Amino acid sequence: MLFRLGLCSLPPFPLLLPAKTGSEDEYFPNYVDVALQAGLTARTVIAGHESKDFLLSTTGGGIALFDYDNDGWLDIFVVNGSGLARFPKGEEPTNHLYRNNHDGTFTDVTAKANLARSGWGQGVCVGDYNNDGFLDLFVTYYGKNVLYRNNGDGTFTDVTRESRLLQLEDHWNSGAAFLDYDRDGHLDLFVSNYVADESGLALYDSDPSLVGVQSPVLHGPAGLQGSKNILYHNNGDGTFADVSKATGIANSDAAYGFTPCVADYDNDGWPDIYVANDSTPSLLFKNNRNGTFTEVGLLAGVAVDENGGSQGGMGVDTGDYDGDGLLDIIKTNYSDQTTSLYHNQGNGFFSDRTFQAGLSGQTSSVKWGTAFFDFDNDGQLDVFIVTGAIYPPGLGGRHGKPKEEEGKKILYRNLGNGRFQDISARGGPGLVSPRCSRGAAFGDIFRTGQIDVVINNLNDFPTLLRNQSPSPNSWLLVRLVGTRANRAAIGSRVIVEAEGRRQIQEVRSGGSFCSQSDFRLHFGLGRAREATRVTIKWLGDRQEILEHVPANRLVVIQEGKGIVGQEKF
Amino acid sequence: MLVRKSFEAVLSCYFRPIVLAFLVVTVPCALLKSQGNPANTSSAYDRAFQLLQAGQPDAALAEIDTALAREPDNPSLNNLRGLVTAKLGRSAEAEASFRKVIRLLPHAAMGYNNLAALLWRLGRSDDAAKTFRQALSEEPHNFTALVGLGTILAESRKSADALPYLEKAWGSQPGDFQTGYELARSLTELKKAGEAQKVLARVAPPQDSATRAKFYVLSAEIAEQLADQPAASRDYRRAYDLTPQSFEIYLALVRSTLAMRDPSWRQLPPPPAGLSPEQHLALGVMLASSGTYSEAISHFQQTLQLQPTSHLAAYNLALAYKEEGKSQAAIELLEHTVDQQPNAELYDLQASLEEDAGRYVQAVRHYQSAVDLDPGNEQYYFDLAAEYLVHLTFGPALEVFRVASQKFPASARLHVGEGLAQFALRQYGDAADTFMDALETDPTSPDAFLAWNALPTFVIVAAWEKIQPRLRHLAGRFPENPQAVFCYASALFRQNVASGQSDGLDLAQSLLGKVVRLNPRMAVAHLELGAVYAERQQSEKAVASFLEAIRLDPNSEMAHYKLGQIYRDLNQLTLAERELDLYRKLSRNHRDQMVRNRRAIRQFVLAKPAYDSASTKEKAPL
Repeated sequence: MLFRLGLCSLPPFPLLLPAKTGSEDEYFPNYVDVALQAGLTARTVIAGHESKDFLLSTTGGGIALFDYDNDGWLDIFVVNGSGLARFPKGEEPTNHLYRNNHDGTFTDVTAKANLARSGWGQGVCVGDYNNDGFLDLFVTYYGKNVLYRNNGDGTFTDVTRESRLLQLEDHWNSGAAFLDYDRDGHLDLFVSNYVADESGLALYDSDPSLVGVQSPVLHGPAGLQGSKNILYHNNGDGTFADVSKATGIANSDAAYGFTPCVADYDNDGWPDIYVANDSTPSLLFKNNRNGTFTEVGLLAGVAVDENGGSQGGMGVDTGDYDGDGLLDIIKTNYSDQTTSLYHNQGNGFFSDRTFQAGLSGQTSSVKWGTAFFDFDNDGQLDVFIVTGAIYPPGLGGRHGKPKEEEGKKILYRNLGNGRFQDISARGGPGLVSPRCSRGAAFGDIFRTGQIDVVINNLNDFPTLLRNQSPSPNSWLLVRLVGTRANRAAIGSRVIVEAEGRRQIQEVRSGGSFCSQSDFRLHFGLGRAREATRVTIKWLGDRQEILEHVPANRLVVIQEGKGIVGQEKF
Repeated sequence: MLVRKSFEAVLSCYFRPIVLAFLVVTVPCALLKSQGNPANTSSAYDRAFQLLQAGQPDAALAEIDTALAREPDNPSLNNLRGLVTAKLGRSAEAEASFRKVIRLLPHAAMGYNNLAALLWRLGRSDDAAKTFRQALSEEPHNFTALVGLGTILAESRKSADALPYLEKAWGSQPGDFQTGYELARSLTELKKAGEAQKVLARVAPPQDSATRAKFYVLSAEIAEQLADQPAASRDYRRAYDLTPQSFEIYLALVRSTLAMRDPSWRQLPPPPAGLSPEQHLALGVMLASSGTYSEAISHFQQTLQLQPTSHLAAYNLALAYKEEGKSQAAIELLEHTVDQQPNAELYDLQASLEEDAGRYVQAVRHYQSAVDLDPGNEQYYFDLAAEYLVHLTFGPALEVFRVASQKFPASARLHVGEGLAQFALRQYGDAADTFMDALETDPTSPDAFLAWNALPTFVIVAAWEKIQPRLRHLAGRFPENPQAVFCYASALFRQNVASGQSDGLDLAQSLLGKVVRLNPRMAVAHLELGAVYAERQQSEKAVASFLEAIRLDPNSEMAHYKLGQIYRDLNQLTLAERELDLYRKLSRNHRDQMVRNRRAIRQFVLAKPAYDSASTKEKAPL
């Protein structure tokens, strides 16, 4: 009797059972690459020829998931690169914008959206810099960055010059993120930089024509001139001003910056900035709440590994993996290094818990895009990492054959006890297919209540991983709309309580590896049918609390107005 | 290293101590005459003795034999007969005569002394010493026996044993030249130069030029021990002036003069005429070892003129050329020499010169030639593989190390090299295995220990099942070896942390505690112990361990970082910042150094992977 009642009290089971279950409670996702069927058919070109002799031809590959046309479906923006060889006119590689057709397919609308542009694209981030309700695009380049204003009619306009973001000199820009560091309601912009621009074409390896003689070898970025990060302040009139020096961002040592990840790490209500650096200590800029920052990475314990060793930091994300109300950091690193898990101690300091959490494996590949996400909707953040050799398979043969593991995806299940379990081999065929991946973006692309992943691959088609194994658990998708806070609500925090568990997430621009994931916050609710409480901490200290929010739906919450829309799917 | 080793090898042939051997031959006439012989016997003895002194031993012997026919048991005549026959080289007769004297006068030291002196001259040192001891058992204060025994023991490199006899003799006859000389020599051998100098100061240099020269040589040796190079040089110079034909003394003079490190060597007298090739070589090596390369070159060249096939001369001449900044001349000399007479050692040197000159491909070819010519020499394999390794040409390096490790399994450094190449090729599990081979081959090897500890934790964790039994066995086999115990303890700790277990932490902590007791100066052990304490939240103990690690190794980035983190967690932020600042500086310096090193590296580009296993069973690649 009790057994039956129990069953009846549960939400309806999905029609499809999980693909592989070891036991009744054990759920495994079934990620399948559906990119080509979905119409993601443009290859990313980063090199343009058969060898990769330059450092420049190993980076780039940002990707973005965002709803550019406000139709409630995620669209995809893929950053493209270039090559040293000349391309026939009209055939130059360009970035690509794919509009979601709502049926599992996409249409390339790059040209229509006025986004066709060639160049050494690197990263991307999204934000509504002019608070007009349409998400704008910022694309970083080895060269000069570009800000695209969303016109709200399916087109974009390059407003780099008029927004005063046009760089006078070429830079090796890498990751970027919009943030409202002074909480004035206008999105500012942080841009990380890799090595000095002139090093992009430094000889990276020996020329095979020099057989039998010696030639210089460049070993990664070590020894090359580093760069400094840039912070632009939004003047609120459509223009930006470089405030790197005034805010203290430029005070840190020159480094090899890749991906910024903006979050309120110390729960003081002000966004701080973490930057994953390659081969140099990573940086944590603590927001001083007065328009300046202090770099505290080393003292905070997030700059290097547990032994003080610098790592080749690539991608980064933040999330509260242990449910203690504090945002922890996961950073992907170079091959032969572990991923880094920095546990937030709550006093402004972190401890490296990589080994303690069981994340010491999977070292053979270079690891790039990453995210804390809840693939099984059990309310505990799991970890996804994409990997890729420096040299794509089939290219640069003289650099050695990539190892078998290189280029596979890594999926760690959160065991709920501070440790993770590597379930990559059981996560579906899309995870084990090797690619030379870089950026990854996460979001519920197909409106299934589960997180899908889109990945940019070098000299290859993108990967679109759709989880075809429905989870038995509930979920809640939250979209925030700021009014006093910036319209995209970047930096605002949502706390969801369900089944006695509290989860926190923030709306974030940038992250992963030079990429942009969905702004909507996805919460797994386990077997709960509702979130008993949803607390929104808008950037700027305004707070709203909603109670008994039903599960399995998207809710749109506007600052000061509560839920202004919801959609069940 | 190769250069120094070569010089030392040659010099060691020439710098054996210069030995002065004094024969103990006594003619105790007064003693014999006091034995109460008849008058006719006494006159016969006197005549015979005079004939002997006049250089007529045969006539003396005839006189003695005539007298002995009359009086066969006369000890004096028998003793004199022993002396005469000894002088005539009729040793057996002499020995028989002295033994008869002993039978006739068993309680007198005389017979023993003369027999002992004879035996020693015959090279029967042990018998001689035994006989002198018999003399001393009869007459404990007998001066001749004391000096004789002391001299024999000193000659037999038993200076400490000789010392009491010589001191006793010196006490009874202070100022006696032979006793003083032997005593000073023994004291010098025992590194008591100060005492030796005092003794020698009390004896006057003899007039005989050969003995006087030996006196000055000993005086010079004492001065060298006292680091008084000018005095040493002065006395060697005196000795050489007395014996200008002595090459050994000249070499010593050169050595002591060069040691003064001033231009006085330019006033050296010319060497003895007609030096042999070996002597030119020795002189050249001496000069080269002191950095006087141009003069050394001259002697090496003369060696080669006298002995064109001397590869040792070519080797040293090439080295001297190199030191003079004439590397190209050195290379050309070696090229010419190996063309005429291929030699592994010369190829090895040629390779190192090519390497210095930045011609890495040529260098590796010459290293290969050395291996081909002398495949039984571990050094050449090591040099070849190391050449590949330092130029990041890991595949060939691994292959050479692999072949060499199989050929020389007892060489820990070859295992280390193989492991390093595997590590560079990202064959981490294999590298861990190979480093274990090195540790098992020689658990005291600093290189093996360093290599093992450079393995990232993730490698140890991944290879744990395979290496754990070997590590445990190693620690069990060498329980008093801190390196062996540390390797097991450290790996156990790290594995426990990574696996989320804690059942091995107690053992790891206990073993690390043992390590720091076995070797309190092992900084990495204190560091690791601190990490264990930190993991177990025992912050104060962790601080103490990290501080000790830093005291022992102030440049440990890791120790400063970990200490900074612990201070931070203890909210001692000023201390934390100080440690992290130190870490930052060390880390920056390290990074800069790495960059400089990397910029200096030149990598080979191989035409094809010529190092397939089939072709390298006997030969290294290329």
